[in-house]
Amino acid sequence: MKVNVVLFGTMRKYAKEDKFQMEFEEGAKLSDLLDRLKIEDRVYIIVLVNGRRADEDTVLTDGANVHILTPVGGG
Amino acid sequence: MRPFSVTVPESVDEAVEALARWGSEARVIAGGTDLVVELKEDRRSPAVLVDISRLHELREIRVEKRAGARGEDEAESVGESDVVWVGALATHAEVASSPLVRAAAPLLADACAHVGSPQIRGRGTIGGNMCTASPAGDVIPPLFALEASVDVAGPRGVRSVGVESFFVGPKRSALAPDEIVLGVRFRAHGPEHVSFFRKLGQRKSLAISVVSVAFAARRLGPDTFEDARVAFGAVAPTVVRARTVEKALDGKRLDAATARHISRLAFRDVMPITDIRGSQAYRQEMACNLLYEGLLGLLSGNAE
Amino acid sequence: MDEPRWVGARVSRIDAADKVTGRLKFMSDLSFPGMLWGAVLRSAHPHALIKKIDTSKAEAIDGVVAVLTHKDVPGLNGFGIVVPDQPVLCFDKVRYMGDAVALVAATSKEKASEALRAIEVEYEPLPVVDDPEEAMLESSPKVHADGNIHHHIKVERGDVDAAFREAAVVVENTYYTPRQMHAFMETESGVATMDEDGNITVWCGSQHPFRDQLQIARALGMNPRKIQVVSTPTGGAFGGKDEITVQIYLALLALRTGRPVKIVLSREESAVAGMKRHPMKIRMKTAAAADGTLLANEVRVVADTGAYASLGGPVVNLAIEHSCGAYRMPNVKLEGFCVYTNNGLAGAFRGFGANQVIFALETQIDMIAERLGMDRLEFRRKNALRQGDVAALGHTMTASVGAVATLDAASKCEIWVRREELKARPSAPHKKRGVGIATELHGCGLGVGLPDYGAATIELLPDGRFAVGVSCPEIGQGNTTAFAQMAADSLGCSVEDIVMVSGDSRYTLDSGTSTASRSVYTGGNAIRCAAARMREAIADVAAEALGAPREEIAFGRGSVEARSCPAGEPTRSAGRLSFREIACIAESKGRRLKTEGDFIWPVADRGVEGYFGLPHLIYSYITQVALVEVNTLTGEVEVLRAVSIPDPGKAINPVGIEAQSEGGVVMGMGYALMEDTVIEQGITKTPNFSTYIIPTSVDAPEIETIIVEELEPSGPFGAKGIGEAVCVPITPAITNAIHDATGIWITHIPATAERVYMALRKQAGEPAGA
Repeated sequence: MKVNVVLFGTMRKYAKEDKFQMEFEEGAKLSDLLDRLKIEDRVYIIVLVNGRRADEDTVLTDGANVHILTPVGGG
Repeated sequence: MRPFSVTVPESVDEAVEALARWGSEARVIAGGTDLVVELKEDRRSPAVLVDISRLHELREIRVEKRAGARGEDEAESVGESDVVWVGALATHAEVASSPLVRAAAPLLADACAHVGSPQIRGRGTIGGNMCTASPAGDVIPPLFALEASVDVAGPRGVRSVGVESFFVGPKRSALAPDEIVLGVRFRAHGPEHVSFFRKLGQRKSLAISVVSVAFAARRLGPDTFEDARVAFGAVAPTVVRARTVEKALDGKRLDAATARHISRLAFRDVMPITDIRGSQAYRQEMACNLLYEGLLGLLSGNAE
Repeated sequence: MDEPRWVGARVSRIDAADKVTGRLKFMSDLSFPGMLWGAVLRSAHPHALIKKIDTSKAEAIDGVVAVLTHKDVPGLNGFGIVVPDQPVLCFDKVRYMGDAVALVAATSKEKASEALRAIEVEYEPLPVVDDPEEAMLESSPKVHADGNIHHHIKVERGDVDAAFREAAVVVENTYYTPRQMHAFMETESGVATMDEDGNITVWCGSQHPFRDQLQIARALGMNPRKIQVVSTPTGGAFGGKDEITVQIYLALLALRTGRPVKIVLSREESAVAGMKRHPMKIRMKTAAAADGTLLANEVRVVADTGAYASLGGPVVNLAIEHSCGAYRMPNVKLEGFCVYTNNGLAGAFRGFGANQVIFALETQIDMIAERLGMDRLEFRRKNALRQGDVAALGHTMTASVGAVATLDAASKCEIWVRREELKARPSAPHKKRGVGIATELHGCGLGVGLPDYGAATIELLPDGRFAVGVSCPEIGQGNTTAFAQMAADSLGCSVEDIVMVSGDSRYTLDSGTSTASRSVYTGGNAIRCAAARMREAIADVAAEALGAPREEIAFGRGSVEARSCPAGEPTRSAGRLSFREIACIAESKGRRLKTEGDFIWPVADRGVEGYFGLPHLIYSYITQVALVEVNTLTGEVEVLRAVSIPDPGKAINPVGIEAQSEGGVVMGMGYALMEDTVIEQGITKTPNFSTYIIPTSVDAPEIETIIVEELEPSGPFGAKGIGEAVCVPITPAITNAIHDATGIWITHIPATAERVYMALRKQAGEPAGA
């Protein structure tokens, strides 16, 4: 299955492109995706899967949109 | 805040005894609006607080001595030159709303009405404001303009001190460590008197004076005054009388220009400092201008 | 769906009774058995190296349970929303007087204070960096090793130099703005507890529990899932509780002692250690053509962010975005610097960079109008952005734009219409009256480049009420009431049937911050989504129970019915089920009706390359008008009346908008006239409310709020956000009114009586003291 990944802000350093697709076996979890991108700091990051906060155990589905960012603020 | 014990005397004598016993270890507390802040910030750490709030006789506001004979129906009223007594424990709120003070010394009532906030006026006392002896204390300029005297009690008995001698420096009074203030007395104003109190603060309420002025005089005509007494707060180590201004005002016919000219003489009587609330230059100017503004009010008949 | 019944209604706050009776417990009111008191040892110098920390004497004090230093921080010894440059506990150096060096937990507050006094720290003082422009020089001592310029932004569009050459009027001025304090009633305070499994709960008022959770986890080196953060209710925040305050200290002490620990900062400690609004020096050069068309704006902002970054970078970015206000500005050259110094700490504060630049811009606008001889309001209206216009940063204004509508309403308000008459009657001959006006737009949400997301949960409770969860904390702004209103209308029930769950990382989904004028818009959209799913779930249950086809189920108020059932039979057999009955049926079948909704903000058509968060797509708009009286003998300025005209999109709760508007006016008035945290050589000179002056109720003017609703199609019921804009243009409205009264221009706020008086003397050609 394929998932769509978008990296934001300082997370952009983990890939050549900001937006790309990744292939996984059925049943893959978010932790597999983070492993493959070699994202080590998994405490102070926010991952949205289809617009919702997800954690490492979240199971990925075909066509899922994964947004990876650091917590932000603004006004 | 450090630990302390509290003693609650039932009489003035007991209070004086307690002070004599504890000496510099003790501190008198009345309303506590100044002292508690000092305790909280560890600026003072007395071992004993002498709480005089039960000395109800020190709360009285009354006519002490009549200047002339009057009938029964006038018992509650106050006439010119009657001697008025305000006990040290009278709160700012009580003084501000006292019909007697409002009639005899409206500038004192006004000053009390401008102290702090309703909560502070409800607890803080006129004696406490004097004992703190801040040059910015709001009740002090009116007492200067009223030429009040202060009664203090100590182991050697009761003595009376002229209000100007009571204040000796910033936060320093002539009160000995074993003495307490009983109250103040002054002569009542009559119908010929005019007066005002004006305070410049950083906001309208809960403000410490940047400059304050108290003015009292006898009106000779619509634009002529005699026996003027002008006192400024927060422009010198203590509240000060502006005697140069007082002399210049005496019997002089005033219009806006002469009032401005005379007000500017206040420069000679004040020596302010720069602090977080205002610069020396501004304070000097404001001493002059607050007086001028008040005189303008008297000339236009707007003020009391 | 039916016409909204609750949205737009003047509903009392759902927390009103608990707040006014004192029943409501803020975090600083919480107490647990065996609870210890925590305290923080702050730095003794504004800038110094730490040579040695000796805690042995403190540890020996009876009643002292724990003393912690940097060695006791298990995870990353740093925090910060964007970059973790602020040590949890300082180890090599201190950078401001509020820096934390050690923590203690003791059996009483007094013991904790005693322990703080017994900790011995040896410092080697360093030169104090207290002027941001000097700090920018290479030769300046460094607050952080990699230099004092934390962030630099530069945006150019068009050709300002050509525009300045062609312009009929060019005005150029330097503006100075103060270090405003949030002055929330509840200082930074809270309690942390630990359970037998080592899970930590931090009860601490803040603006984003889920981000606090991650920052705490990072410092503790713990799995975030083992940390619960509860942030509602918060006793005021205004941006000052967006960053971590005492949460990590609480968690560290609870972790070490295994006991509940409470910290309540004193007002003085809060004033020294807490967040402030960035003081800015703003150079602004603005040009217009003879017909009154604005041509160009050149802006240079230097912001003093103090010792640590926090949100200093985004604040300066937003200052740049808002520096051209609600106007078309074809040529811009905008530059901002965010600079480290030893002057306390600056970060998020209601308005987020707009307050400073809008003060500058709106003064420039009045100056240009005066030079051109144009009416101040007409000049603004002529240049105001309309929907479809291209804004200063080059993006197209496609969302609802209320700039002209708020100006139109201002032109009809009483103090504007009758201004000459009101000015002619001052209360004394030496007093002068003036009327001032100012307007702005204010970005809602986090802007381009950062996905701004929200989520909500709705659960049908056994009694037929709904539990609605949105994590954005209730910080006093009234968002839980607005959420309840939107939920009631989305579900078809009464506000009384909504139980709000707010600001709790365990019982809500992450819905982002209560900042950026975003929570009503975000939470509302997520609630709409969750409510639609809840109605489907209810319809499923009803269809099955009534034996009716799913498409025949219709929603009434608090109930559903099958439409094809014969009319006139009032009971359940007639095919009507109340939500309570639905809940019973679901329960009997072992089903729990709970739905989730989510939402991602739309963003502008183009960003600003290299800078996250710029620009915004959706803006709220506001025009404010002030009537002032200036005492020319003292410089005192009294604000007599103010009119506040916000465009919040749909006003979900007009009472709530009015409350925000009134609070905003008074906060912006304090900023204009009296508030400033004075720091000299790194030392705060105004650490309490007798020296840091905020307005009292006696200073507050009569305030009228006129709501203009430019509905935003992407917003819930058409709502945008209004929490920040309400405190912004009132500041230049007041200073412009001072000009209208006296002829002096205020370029340095606060316009204290002394500043105004000295400016009047200067205008009259009389130096002070003459």
